[in-house]
Amino acid sequence: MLARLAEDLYWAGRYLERLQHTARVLDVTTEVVLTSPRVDQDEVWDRALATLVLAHTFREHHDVVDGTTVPQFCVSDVDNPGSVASLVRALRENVRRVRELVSSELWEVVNDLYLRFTATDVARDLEEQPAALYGFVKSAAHAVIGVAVETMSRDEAAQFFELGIHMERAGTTTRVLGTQVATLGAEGRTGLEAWAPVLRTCAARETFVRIGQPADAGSVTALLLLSPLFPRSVRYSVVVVDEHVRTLLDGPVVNDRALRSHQQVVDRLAGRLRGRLDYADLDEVIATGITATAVSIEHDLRGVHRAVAERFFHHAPGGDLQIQELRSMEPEVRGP
Amino acid sequence: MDRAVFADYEPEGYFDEVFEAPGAPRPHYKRLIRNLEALGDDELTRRARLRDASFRTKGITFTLADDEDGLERTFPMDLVPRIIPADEWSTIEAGLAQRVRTLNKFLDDVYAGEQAAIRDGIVPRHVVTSSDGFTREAMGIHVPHGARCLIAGIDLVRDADGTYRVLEDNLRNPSGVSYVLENREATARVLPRVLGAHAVRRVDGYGQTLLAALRAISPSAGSHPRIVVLTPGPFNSAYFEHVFAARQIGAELVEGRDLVVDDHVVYMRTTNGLERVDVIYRRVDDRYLDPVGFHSTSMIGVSGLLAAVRAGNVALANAIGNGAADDKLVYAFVPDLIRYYLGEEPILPNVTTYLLWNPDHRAEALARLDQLVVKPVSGAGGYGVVIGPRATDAELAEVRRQIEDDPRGWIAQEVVSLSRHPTLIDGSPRPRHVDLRPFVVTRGDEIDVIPGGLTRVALTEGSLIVNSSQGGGSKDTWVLLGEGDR
Repeated sequence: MLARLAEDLYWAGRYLERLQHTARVLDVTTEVVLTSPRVDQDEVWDRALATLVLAHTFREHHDVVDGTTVPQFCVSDVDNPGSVASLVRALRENVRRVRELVSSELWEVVNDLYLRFTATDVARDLEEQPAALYGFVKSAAHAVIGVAVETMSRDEAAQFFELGIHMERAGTTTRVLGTQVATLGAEGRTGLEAWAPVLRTCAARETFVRIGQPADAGSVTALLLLSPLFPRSVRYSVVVVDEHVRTLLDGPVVNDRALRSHQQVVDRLAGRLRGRLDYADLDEVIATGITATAVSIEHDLRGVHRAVAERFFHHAPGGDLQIQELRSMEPEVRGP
Repeated sequence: MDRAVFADYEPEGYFDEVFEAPGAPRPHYKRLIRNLEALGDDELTRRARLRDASFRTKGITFTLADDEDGLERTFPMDLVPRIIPADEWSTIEAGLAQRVRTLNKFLDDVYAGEQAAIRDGIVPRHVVTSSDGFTREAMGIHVPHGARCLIAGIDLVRDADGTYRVLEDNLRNPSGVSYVLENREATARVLPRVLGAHAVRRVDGYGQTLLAALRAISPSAGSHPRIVVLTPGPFNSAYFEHVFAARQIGAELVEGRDLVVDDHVVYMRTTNGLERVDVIYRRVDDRYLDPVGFHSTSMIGVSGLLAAVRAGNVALANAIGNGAADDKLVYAFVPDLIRYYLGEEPILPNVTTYLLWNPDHRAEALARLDQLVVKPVSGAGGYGVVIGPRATDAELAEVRRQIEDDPRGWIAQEVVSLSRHPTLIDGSPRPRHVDLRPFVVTRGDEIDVIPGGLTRVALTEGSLIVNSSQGGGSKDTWVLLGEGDR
């Protein structure tokens, strides 16, 4: 398939995953603020920005961090490329460009999300019923993924879309570990009450409770970083990334020398990261430090992302795995 | 049903496609009128809603060039189809084939031949070389079979006595063929029994015809050349048609940035590296094709494409430089070119045309400007046309001044009182002016004409401008099977 369209699909997957992650972070943060009267609210919102990697961008636009400016910036500000509004638009634009390659059902469910979101009075909802607004975004994003699985042939197009979803998911969960889990761990917090918001940020609370371990930095890291079964753990997503990369590389023999060398790089980096997580030891992770581990995994993810771009899209990607990418990869400035 | 649908329909003084006189349909329309009467007003209104819903859902839309919002509009299809009887069509078909054969020969003569038509004085050299469409960069480029107008759209009109005349040739990127197929599909869905009651020639062979024609110009020997459709992108007004074409022929829809030229060979960038491209059905204008070859700042082109074409490593459809033959001045010489290249009399006449650079023609035209249609030579889409009998004195004075400033930039033509066809306006049939754009495909040494074509209708009462960009609609166009056809 055309490299440009493969890249559009990959980014559609990333936008989609970022969208639901953003909604979940804001949802949990809103609830924490409402239900914990003694908490320092501004600090909680600050941490939400850090988890979304929007702290820097936010400060370019605002001076005051509070329960009004942050949700507004993260939901409806179109100058923020990581806002829900920007992500919904970018998702729809990308899917529209690849309409020929995806099922009509997928296009329709994405278009429907876009039309319903743009018809929403976001300012009023943030004031009156933020949970309903975030719930709508989360369930609409889930619906898109479900429709993709149900209606699309497991071909190259679907592979690139899912690769994007899991690259983004591995990155966002890693960042939750590096910011929130590391902070609570350093404070020596224990007990489900303290850890529930972090777990809910990754939709992991119910799974965690079912496992039945006492809540502390170790048991939470075991689930979010190393679980082979939980679909939002870093390891789970990295396994999906590795398998998709392998399937995509399993195509026709490539004659181009540069491409063959990129092929080896992507193969090696994806496999190595997977191996690292498949054979990781929790005690070693704790000993190394959760922050240090998260930083190093993010570094490896960036390497895979860059190698994927060079092997399949034929150009080095601009920027980082972080929000700069969302900006630097905007369609008008992107491309070889 | 209170009263007959067509009871109040008045053909008035014009040539009406359907009614010879009030209440008297022509023989080939008798059954259609009976069928539509049987449905009645209310049912037709219901069917019209069905049609609108189907076009919206399928997203069959176009955007206007000057619409900043890029608003997507539908190209409305009128429910009353146009019918062309078999014998009438066989004349049109022969005339179109003759014309396109000639235009291919003329372009080949100009760009890759000895310019015999110019040398022998059939067309003055300055008429060709001063035309906007004449492209020096195309000199010396050969096209297999001389199939330069691989797909042509020839606009026909019918005058007061029903004679079909050629109004203009579109030899660069004629659009509209997608509507021909979509309109037929819509009719089959919305008026299935009416369509079923007639023996209508199918139009859905177009995709395979186009594919065979594109294969015929491939420079590679293999039987499965790699063909792509090149589009300027989703913001182009005809993007829907580009997607449609790619689907019809099963080709990849590419943009300029998907292609790369290396050592005069064109490749497309796929996820598994570069794949060679043999034929490009391009829907990008000449001057935007190649920023190097045409010294432009085009962002949608492919650097080095022109050199690859010249090297014979890739074929373009339509060929570069076709604008030299669909120029409104060169148009006036086409009947002579038919006689010159084919030794035949033209089957389809032109509309009488005055060449305003010619002092005699100019004097005659300026004297009766209020009775003529004046058109800019390089215009398209009906922009800039002044219709003498309907123009104000100020408009006439202005166009007179423009002609005197730039006689090469304008032509004048006799007013053709375009034929009219019953068209449903607010649920009732009203006479509206129509033209016809048949599509002609050059497939190797053969010429194929898609049966019928796109009938465009000026929906505004009295209007003669049928272009989609100026409020035109369309009609499904039926060519009836003759005795011998199958």
